[in-house]
Amino acid sequence: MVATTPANNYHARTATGESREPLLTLDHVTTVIHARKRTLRAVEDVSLSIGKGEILGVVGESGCGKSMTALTIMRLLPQSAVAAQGSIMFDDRDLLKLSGNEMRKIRGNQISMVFQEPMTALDPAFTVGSQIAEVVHAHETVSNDEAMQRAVRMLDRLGIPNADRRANDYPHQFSGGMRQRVMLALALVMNPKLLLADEPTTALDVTIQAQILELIAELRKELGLSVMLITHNLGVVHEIADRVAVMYAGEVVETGTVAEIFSNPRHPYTQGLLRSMPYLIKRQPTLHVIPGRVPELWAMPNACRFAARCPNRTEQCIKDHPALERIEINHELRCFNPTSFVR
Amino acid sequence: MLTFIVHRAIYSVFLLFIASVVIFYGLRVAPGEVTDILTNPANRSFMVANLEEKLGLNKPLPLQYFIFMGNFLKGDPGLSLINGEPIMTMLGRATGYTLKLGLLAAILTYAIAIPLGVIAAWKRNTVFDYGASLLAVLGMGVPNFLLAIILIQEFAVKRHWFPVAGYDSWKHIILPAIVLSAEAIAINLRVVRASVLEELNRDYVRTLYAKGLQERKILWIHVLRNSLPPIIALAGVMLRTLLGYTLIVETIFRWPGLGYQLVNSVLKRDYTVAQTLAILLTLAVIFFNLLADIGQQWADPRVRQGSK
Amino acid sequence: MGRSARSPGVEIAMASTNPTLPISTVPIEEIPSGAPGRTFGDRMAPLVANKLALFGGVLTLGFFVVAVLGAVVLLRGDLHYLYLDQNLRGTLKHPGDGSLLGTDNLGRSMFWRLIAGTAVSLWAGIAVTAISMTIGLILGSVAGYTRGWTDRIISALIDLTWGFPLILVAVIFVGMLEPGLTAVIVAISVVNWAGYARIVRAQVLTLKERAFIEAARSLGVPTWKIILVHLVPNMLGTMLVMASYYIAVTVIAEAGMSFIGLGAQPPTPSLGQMVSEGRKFLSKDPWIVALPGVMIALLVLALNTLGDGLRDIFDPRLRRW
Repeated sequence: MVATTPANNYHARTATGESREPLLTLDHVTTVIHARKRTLRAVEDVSLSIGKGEILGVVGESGCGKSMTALTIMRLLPQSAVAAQGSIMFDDRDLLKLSGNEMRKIRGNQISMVFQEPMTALDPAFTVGSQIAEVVHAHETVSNDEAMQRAVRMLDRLGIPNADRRANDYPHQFSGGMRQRVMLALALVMNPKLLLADEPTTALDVTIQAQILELIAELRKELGLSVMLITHNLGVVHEIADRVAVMYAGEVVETGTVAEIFSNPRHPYTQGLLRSMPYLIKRQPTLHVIPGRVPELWAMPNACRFAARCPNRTEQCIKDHPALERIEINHELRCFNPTSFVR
Repeated sequence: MLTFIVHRAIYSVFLLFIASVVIFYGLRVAPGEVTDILTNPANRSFMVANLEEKLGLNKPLPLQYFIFMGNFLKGDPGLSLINGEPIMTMLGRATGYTLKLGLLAAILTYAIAIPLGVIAAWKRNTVFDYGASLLAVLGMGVPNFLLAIILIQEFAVKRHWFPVAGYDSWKHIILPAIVLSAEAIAINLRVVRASVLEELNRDYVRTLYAKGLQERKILWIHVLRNSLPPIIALAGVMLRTLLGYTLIVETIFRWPGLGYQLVNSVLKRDYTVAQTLAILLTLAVIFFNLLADIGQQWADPRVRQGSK
Repeated sequence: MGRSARSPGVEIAMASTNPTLPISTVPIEEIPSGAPGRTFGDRMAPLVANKLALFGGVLTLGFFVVAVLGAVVLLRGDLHYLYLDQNLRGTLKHPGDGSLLGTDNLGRSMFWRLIAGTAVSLWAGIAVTAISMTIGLILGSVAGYTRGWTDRIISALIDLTWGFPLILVAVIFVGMLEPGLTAVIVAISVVNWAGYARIVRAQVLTLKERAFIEAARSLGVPTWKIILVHLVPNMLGTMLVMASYYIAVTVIAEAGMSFIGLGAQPPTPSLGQMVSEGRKFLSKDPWIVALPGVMIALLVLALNTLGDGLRDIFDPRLRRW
């Protein structure tokens, strides 16, 4: 087994090979959930890095641990879950070692998160404007007027028409796409360095989806924002991400730039995902499917987690557990037997 | 919202009318004439006729009803048949007492039930939570008159902390208020707890944490505010039930409020007072209904504004 | 890239509880989380609920047996002596001192008075429930099923009566009739039917849309038959739950009324009345108050618990809190 490259030596590289300074580094982070009698390993030894001004797409199917990873970064885990190992370095501080109050000051201020369901993510009893202003009040001492002004400005910047009037409306008076913009306004009003976006467009219409994604890309340019974009939709990743991390069964199995991953995916799972995307132009007789199922969280094999479904499976795959290795400057892989990709 | 209020108001007036007729006739049809109480058995027949004339009791019932209602609405429901005191003065005095008691009981109820309920939900399944639930079970299981007796025995008879009955000093109101609010506290405690528990599981709570708000603020401002609708709905029901309990509690403690007067007037067959009070209290109940309905509509901004 | 296996034909060593990677042995402080999650207590809830029904059921059954015994004593004239006989030389005896549960200030047997009094309370509750449930079922079903003007009138009636304070109505009714158990029973029935009718109406409104009703209607089954044969049986579970709560409510109301002297009149014994009479002797002979008081509280507890248990089984929507 080849040793894993320590994540803190890693420098994110853009498509053209320039190095970006890492903003957030996850180093061997493991999150477990203590259920009644079992320990579920939801996030397993995840090492990732996000550079400044970079959009990292995290892809994988439901339950692969991508949301839990984001929640671990924000330290918003449910009571039964614990980040049992590893470190998350942000601004030279390990987020996992901060006190509750210190972490609170970071949330919404330097690291923000938007969630999947804009319908239910906002407090229905307070106006949209007051909820955004609240974020300002939580982190700075400002007058009510000042906070409200900033809220309105944010709404405006995010494309809400008549922002000053709409700020006095309640969440239920907005459509889904608008609500997601409000969520973004909430998240970005304090100009955070990092935005964690957990499936921000999954619950929205395709056309709205495109708008929101465009918005995020613009904001990245305008504000120098880094984004961790969590999605199960490869199309979204291709659209705006710089780099991709593919997760499966709680582990990172492949990372690389978008160009690299889409043209030369090495991990069988990534390849399967790409193959599963239907052609829009040419007709296919059947849609590609990856057979089998993700193993249960409490019954993870002591070997490669994907082996049961892998077409390239070897003896080693069902005996040993592969580690994440750097195979090229822009490409990490966790696989004993990668093959080249033919669509 | 406005149309709603108007509809409800008209409706309530209609209900009140029906209630007043029922009460009026009901009381009159009762066996046992007030005249029996007021007259000397010896010269009964003569006195009875005279008395009936004087009190207007010999006119046909429907006529009596209209005369009564007319006077009632003008603000002069007449005199007590027993002691001749103008009913309005009696009522004025009694209302003051009942309001004081009711207000204190209401304050006690929410001042105790809301904080306890919120904390019980927040610290779910801890000792605190179980303790609060126990309190709730006790409050609901022990009938109010029993509680009253126990409290009187312990704190008034044995320890002389409070007077047994009466209405002169502020000390007189404490025990009755506690008894009156006991069940309300218990039920509200459970409703608050359940409502807060439900809200704590909602998505927006996670967003609130993600915004970096302090936990204190999240719990006591956002979650509590969203937990209110069932509590307000309950308030309407509780208000009416409490009105009923006032009758018993005031009687036990001889607190001269409306309830005490009603029970007394029924026992003594004081028609005019009884029917006035009965109608008044019915009016109060209907009015509380109205308030509760309106309150519930208000608490849910989705209903208030009309959602998209 | 070959054909993918259709199913994992290969045995993979499954690690059930062993972690795949070693966890560091350095103690890790639990990092506090942000939001609450499901706890053990939450998952136990369904099991506990059934225990609730069991406990409540057993207790209620116990009371029911007592009530039957009491009814026998009350109804048979020759047995009245059991709770009426005064023994002025054996007054205020403590429990265990000769007699089973002691005697009251007139030397009457507390034991038999308790039994008779409990019977009065429970049977009053059952009587009220029988009357009000019948009325409520009929009116509620008619309103929910036929809609239109009938519905509006009945609904108006329901709204007016539903939340009315029982005691207030009872006192007014006592004013109209004479103080006594009948007045209390009538009064409470007059209010309680609306509670049943409300729920029945709501249930009928939903049930009405179901296919089997549609089928019956198209087969020409008359309305009254549809209501009786198809709708009512489906609501019995809910009715049962409500009945247990309402009987508890009636017991308390009856006791309260008797306590202030407007309920069951002597010589009929009543738990509320016993509490009222015993007040004077509270300091030295508290059992005269305590025994009936505890009986009332226990009976109410039994009924409420039974109701809670039944509700969890039948219809969680009816949660009181």
